[in-house]
Amino acid sequence: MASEQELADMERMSSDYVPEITGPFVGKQQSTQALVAEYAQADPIYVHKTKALPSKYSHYRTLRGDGNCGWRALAFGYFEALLRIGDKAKVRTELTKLQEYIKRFESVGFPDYAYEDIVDVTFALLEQTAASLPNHDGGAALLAAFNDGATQNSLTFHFRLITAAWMKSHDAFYADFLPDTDVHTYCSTNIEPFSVELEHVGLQALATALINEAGIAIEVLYLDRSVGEEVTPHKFSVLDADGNVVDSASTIRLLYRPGHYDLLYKAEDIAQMAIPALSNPEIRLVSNTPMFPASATTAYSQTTDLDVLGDIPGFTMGMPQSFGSLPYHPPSESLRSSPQKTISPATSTKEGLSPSSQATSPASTEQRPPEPKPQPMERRFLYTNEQLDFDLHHAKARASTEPQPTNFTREDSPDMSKREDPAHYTNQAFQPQMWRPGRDYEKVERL
Amino acid sequence: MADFAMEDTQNSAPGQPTAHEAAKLSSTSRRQDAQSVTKRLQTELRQLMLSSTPGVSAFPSLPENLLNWTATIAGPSDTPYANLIFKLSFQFPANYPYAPPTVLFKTPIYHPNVDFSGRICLDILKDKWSAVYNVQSVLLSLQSLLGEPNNASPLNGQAAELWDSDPAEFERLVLTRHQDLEEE
Repeated sequence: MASEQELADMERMSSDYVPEITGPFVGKQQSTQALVAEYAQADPIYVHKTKALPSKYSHYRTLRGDGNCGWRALAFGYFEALLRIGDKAKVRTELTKLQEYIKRFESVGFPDYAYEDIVDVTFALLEQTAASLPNHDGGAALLAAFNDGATQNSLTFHFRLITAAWMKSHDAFYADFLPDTDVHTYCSTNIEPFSVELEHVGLQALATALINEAGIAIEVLYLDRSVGEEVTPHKFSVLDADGNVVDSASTIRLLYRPGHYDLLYKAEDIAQMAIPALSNPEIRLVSNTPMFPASATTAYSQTTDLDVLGDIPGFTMGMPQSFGSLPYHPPSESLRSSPQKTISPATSTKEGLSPSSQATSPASTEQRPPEPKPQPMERRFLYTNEQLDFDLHHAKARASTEPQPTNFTREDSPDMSKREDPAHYTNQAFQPQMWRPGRDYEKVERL
Repeated sequence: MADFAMEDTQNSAPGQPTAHEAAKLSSTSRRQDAQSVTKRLQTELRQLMLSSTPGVSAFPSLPENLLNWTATIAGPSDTPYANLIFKLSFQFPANYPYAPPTVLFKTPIYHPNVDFSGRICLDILKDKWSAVYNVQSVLLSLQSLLGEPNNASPLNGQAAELWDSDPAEFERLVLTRHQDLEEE
């Protein structure tokens, strides 16, 4: 009896074994050159196909391979595309559509406990996204939300439910795709369970139900051993009223390797994402009161680095790696309570790089939280030719909660008074894009 | 930042998060998860109390801990389990409903898909778990499992064999093994 039990135990353990899954839920953007390197030693078909990637698709994001990656990629891609499109009214329309969609959940018989909490998370993130437009943070808040365990579970599951409800309410149509089973069974075994990966049918249903409907196309690029010199594309296009393909539609690109989905980007996607509405001459200081304040900071501290933005072409940032050693100044109440607070354009254009205008502009000082000392270095360490938002306080909060190991040695780590010295900006050699704290501080000290 | 969704809680000792799980939890998202799991379980409890289903019941074991429930299933008539009552324990993970509860038979039971520690082999408690299921649907699934075992993947091989080959002996073993638990 006992040995029988032991055998049963062993069998259960081996059949239940799940390899440990690591990595961020949604990774930061990185160059597709990394894929070329990854496959350099692989089968020639992979070598050819990955080598051809960077010329068309400059960047990609990894998704955690936990069985939800395809779903999470689509959910993240949907939000990201909305941000890229940058139309506040459109995001609100999407919100209304998803609120209406609850009726479909009811009509296909989902119990209310299954969706009533999760839809709120999605609605809140849509609200937050709408509120951030037309200027936005380049997707940092989205990335943070999608890297919070509870939040991304909810978002991912909502997208599964949208898909299942759509299929169940069009079961005659989907029955033709599913020769071996009925639509309801398929949904309960392949769409609704957590960790069952996205399949073509579900992808088609979600595209039809929500994503194409929102004017967002989906393109799946298959990186597999099929014959060819490039990844094989399969597109779910947006159609206009006459049924013609809308070529200009913003597109979610999924890089599919058998069993796994990642997100793929063209250079133009990145450019669109990096440049907040140029028509708006103001810079908005991002409020420190996002919908997911805790998630934002935990996600940053655990899975992402702010230098994700630095991977974006044309997006320039000097991110002090020693940020962890900066003191944390709690955001002032005025800043906290005024998400729409703006800095006048004068302080934010190229002139803003000049130390004199930074240090003396009354417009800029009055926007800053009262701090014991002026800290121009901290105030904006993100400079490009465009006006950009940067959520300084995320970085501060991160710095305060989780001091990062720094690469500094004692001698190239200046004390606080030096770090705050606006002389950084007079340094002719100071180049934000190239900036490395150690090296540049040394130069400052030599001056 | 906790994600237990992919971890098979069936493998964890009930009530004891593994060291690995504990290490992965940040206090922040644990609080967030705890809020949503509490809210969800309160909803389920309310619904169970409002619409009682014949043959199944469930309630938190202790009023102060919503993550531990005790449930009962009545054996379906026309099965070897007719007129028997089975007690079960539910242990909800911190990220419920994105991961299944750990469900154990506390009453000793002789069944092809339940081992001698009371552990259950049922797909919806593992890889087919979905947040559309709840305590009630799990109990109803278990109730139907009593009458319709999945003999293709048995935890108790002998029971799976006898179910088909010797129903009388199967029933005798069911009754031999069954013993009502003392009220705790």
